[in-house]
Amino acid sequence: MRISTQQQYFRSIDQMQNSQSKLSELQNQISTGKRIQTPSDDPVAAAQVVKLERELAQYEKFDDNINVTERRLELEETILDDVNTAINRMRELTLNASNGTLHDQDRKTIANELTQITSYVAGLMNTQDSQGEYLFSGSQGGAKPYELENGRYQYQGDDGQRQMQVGSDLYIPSNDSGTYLFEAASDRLEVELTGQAVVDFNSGVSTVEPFARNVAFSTADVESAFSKVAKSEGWGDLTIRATASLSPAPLGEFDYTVVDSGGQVVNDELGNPIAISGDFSTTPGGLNIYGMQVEIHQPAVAGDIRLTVSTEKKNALDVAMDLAEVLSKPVESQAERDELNEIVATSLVQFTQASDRNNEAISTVGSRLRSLEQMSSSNLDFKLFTESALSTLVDADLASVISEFKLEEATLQAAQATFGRVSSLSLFNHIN
Amino acid sequence: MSSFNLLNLGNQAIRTNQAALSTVGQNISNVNTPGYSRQIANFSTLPDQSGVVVDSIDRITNQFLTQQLWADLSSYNQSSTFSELSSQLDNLLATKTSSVSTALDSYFSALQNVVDDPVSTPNRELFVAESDALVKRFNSLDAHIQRQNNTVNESLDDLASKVNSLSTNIAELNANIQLQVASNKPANELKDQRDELTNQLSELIGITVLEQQNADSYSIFVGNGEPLVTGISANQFEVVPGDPDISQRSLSLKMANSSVDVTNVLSGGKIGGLLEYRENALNTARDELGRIAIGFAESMNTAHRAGIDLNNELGGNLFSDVNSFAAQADRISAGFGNHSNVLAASVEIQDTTKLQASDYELFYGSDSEITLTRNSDGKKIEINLLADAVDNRSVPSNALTWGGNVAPSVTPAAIVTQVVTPTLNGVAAPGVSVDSAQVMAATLNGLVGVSGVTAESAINLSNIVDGGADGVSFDVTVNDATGNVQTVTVPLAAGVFSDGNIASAINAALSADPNDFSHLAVSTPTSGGVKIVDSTGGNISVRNNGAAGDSISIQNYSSNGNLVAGGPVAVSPGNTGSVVGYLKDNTATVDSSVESLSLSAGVLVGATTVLVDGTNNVESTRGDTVLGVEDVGEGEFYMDPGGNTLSFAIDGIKVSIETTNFIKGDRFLIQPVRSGADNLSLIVKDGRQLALASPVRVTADTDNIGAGKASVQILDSIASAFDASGDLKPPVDIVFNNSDPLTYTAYDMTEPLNPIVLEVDNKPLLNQTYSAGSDIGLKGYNVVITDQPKAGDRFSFTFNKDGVSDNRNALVLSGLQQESTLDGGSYQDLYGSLVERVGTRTATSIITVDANKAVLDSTVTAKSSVSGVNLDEEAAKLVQFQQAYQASAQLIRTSQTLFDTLLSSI
Repeated sequence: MRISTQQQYFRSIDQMQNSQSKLSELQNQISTGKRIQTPSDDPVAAAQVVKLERELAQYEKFDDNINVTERRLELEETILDDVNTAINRMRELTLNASNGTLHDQDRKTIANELTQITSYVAGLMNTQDSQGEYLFSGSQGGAKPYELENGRYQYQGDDGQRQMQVGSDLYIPSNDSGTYLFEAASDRLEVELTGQAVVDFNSGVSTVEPFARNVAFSTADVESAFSKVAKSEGWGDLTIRATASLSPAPLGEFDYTVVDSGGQVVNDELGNPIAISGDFSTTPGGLNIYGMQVEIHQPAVAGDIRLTVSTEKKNALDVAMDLAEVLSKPVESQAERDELNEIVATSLVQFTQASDRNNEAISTVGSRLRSLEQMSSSNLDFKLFTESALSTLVDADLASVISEFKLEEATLQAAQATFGRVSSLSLFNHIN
Repeated sequence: MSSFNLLNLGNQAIRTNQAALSTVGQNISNVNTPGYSRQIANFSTLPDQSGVVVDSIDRITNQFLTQQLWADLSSYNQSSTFSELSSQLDNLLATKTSSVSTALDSYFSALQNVVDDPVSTPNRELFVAESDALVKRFNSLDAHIQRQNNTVNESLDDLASKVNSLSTNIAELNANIQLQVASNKPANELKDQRDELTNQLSELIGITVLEQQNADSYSIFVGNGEPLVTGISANQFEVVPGDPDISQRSLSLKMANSSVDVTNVLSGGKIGGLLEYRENALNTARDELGRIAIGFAESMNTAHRAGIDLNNELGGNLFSDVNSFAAQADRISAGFGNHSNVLAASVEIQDTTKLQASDYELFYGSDSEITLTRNSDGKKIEINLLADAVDNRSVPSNALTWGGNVAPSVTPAAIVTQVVTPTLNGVAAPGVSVDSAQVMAATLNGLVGVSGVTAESAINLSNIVDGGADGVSFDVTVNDATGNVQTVTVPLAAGVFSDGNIASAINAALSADPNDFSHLAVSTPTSGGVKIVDSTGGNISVRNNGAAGDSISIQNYSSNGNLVAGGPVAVSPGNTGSVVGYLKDNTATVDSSVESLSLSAGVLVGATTVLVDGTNNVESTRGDTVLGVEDVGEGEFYMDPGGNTLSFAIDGIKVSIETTNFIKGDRFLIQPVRSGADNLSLIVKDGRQLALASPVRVTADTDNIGAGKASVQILDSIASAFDASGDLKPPVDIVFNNSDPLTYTAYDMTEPLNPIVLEVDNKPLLNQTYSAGSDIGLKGYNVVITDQPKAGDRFSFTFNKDGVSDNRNALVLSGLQQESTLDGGSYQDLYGSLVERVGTRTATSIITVDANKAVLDSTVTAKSSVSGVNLDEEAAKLVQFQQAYQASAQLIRTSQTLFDTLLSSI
């Protein structure tokens, strides 16, 4: 093939330039240690790198979250331990107070200590973190959870929980609210009546009172028996239903039945529906629902009254305050002694409930801390895995890159050498 | 043979070889001249041994190779221009300091800090700062891309003027060569020059060259055969603002008096590379970036608006609103050549999960030929073949009102009938005799497209006076459940009549009657009197049967549940008073077929019943283009009958155009996401305004026996529940009642002592069967209760006042990082695939450049092996012709010697 002189030079220069650009690329890889300099070097790997780097950033963030959560939960655990010790001391003091040989002065001393411990525990419950956020007020971190109102501690927060993301699909609560932790002692039942108002038949004036009213339990035992039945039967809210008696009964006579929240008629122990009927416009009648006495009056028209029964919850602080109040009074009569004995007995039960809840919470917190630890180590594994995947994608294999570099270097040197030889060949050198 | 002939031969040979030698000299001196083709002198013998002569001096060239070279130069320059620019973009997208993905990492990391500790002011401020950094990253990356666009624009200017001067020069050379050829002179050098200029031209743009008249003249065409050079005249390129996108310049070719836009048909060369880069890399990247920015802003804003901030206010937009008035108007531009005038046009982003990174071209041919072309993949959508928009509108309150009034103690007592004429879509329907709200409702429901009109009637009885102290008796005339008119007599024994007593008496009379009156309800409202309601809207009459002195007063109710003004009307003994009902508010629905509906106004004589006019028209909402046509859903279109309003929704965008009248040939360019990244800005500047808490507080009753846990999901922060700042309306309690199957009831707890069963969409949530983990839809939010609640359990939902430590909404925001908020994945997935796409394209273009370079090299080699000068060859020729020259000189000398010998011999 015919070769033109220009072509000869151009071709040599081209080859050398190719070698040089390859060398510079390899040199870049060696000096940075990275295989991919721009996405176009390996577009698929580059997209994976974006993804893996995002994952890595997330795992690092999860680690941070684990640390933050651990700190908060450990603080909570410490406080709960302290509260537990304090409640145990309160229970001890209660047991002491039940000793019949104590004098008024001794009981006063006990009452004083109880008051002291109470304010100490209240301090614990109002713990703030370094940001000034209250630990136990649920979502209302700005509100002090226990505020003294009329001599009793009222919970001011709510039952919000802060969830922390510690794994790609794992959230762990980093706090517990005072409602759950401290409002654990059960008190008396409360019954709320909602529904139809009563119309005074003679005056035509409607009063605000419902036709069923004055709910009462004769004793505490009856009350607890009622709440047991209510729970086991799953009544929910009870409804007293007044329906006009069927003719030919005289005008104004009504039938009263009791249904549970599902609309099922409530039966007594013998399996008969709990019901009365009659005209109660002058003398009120009465319904007995497993010990719960309800007074029945005449309604204007047929209608329903709903009974919402709930247990009042009480915190250990108030239990202690109630007890201290009774203890600091001198005992002068049998009635006062009975009152003392009753409150000591109730307080013991309530302190046990508070302490049980406390222990339950401590073990919950403990189990959360354990899962955090596990999550932390598995995050570490994931991180390691991701990092190694990332490394195989972006890191240059130095051994092979360096040997490639050597090879290219040799090629360039050879090209330069041959160029010198070829360019020195010219026929003109031989014509004189 | 004469010696003179020998002299002549020698002379001829000397001249011929001299010419050959000077050709060699020309070759040697032009060894490095670009475009030079080596020349050779062609000899031929003269007849009768009269020697040699130079026939011609030829350029050694191969026209096929030359043509091949032009094509190869075009391809190579196109790919190298593209790959050069694309590499820049590639670097820009992936470099850590300019990548949006790394900025998103920092943003979400700062967000996690806020999730960890929402109370901390430094964390909140840091998050605001990182949001600002992210916005700036989007903006600056977009600015970079726009700068590249400007570079393309300026390069086009530059290259076009180069093309113009080259084409002018080629045309001039064409003229010169023709002159030379005409005067029979060689034009080798001029032809070389012309080939070289054509080479340069082909580097700039892909060309087709037609050789005419034995290669004496070149005609050059670009694109689809648009002439650039024809013989001795050249056409000029003009750079003009793009139509209609003026930010992207176009090229048009000026021919005679007309100008043709050739931007879309040009390919090859540097210009082709620039255009390809702009179309396939730059605009695509900018669209994708814009789409990510819009999806990001919209999803973040929606989530942020569903939270409350430290001031107990619902969150506002975190980033700028993607559907601001200006942004919507900017996304669409009309073609310069359109014949219609655009009155209003807007493009609204409706669903970011369907949004595509593309621009669109809308073409109007006729009402049955409206085409939308998606430029990213060329998909054509026939807009006129989409589903016609369904326009189901609830009729606003009092749009269809049947007013009723008391018929007082008049005789005769019957209710008067009136003929009412409904006018539907401008066409009057046959008149209907109407005497009650029930009939009115049935009439309206009988119209095509109208449904759900409900009627109700209600009467209030009061002031019952027993004049003779012998009791009072009255007749109540109502419809029974089957629609037959029935009269029931109610006796009241002497005494004082309390409302409760009267109600009981009416109930007793009704239940004693054998007919079914279950649609009637008797009650004693707190405002006094006894109320009888007929839920089917039948007329209610009351006749006073009593003796003189006995009296009953009646009054009717209007659709808002209040007694009508004017006070009660007394019905004297023996007389009858009646009320007719009313149509209930907000129950009616009209569908898309109803453009307008009105009722003839009128007064029912005697019953003084009025159909209120003026407020009972139903207007179409579909034609309202002020900010987009209402009620056009994804995959639907609406073209108004007048042909001037078009609206359609596709790919998550809703396009609305209102013109004077669409005219065939109208074109519109729609760029829904092009400037998304540019328009992104941060709205919230104060950490306190970050809405990180959920507005709904969930409280499980402490008495709950089951392990049920409730959570809420805010769906619509503008729902009525969140209307009042710092309040949840109404507060709701969900109470589980029956245990098998487990059911629940939701109560409106506005008055804690008087809970009312909550109605959602006119459906009371009473004794609903519970299924674990399924959504319970309340107004504007969903409640999910999991983990086995039990009968009697109660969950309360109130406003989360001062919930400063609550991080639920922050968790929702941070969860968006992983969510597929856009078609194709999360924000960073899409950014990753953008990087991959640009990377792949760049990598491919680099390979193409290499391949084109190899092809070009081989063509150049082939051409230069034909036309190039080889110095060794020339050296050999030099020796060859020199020797021939010397030999020829010897001929002369021999001839002289011969002559001398001859002379001397004389």
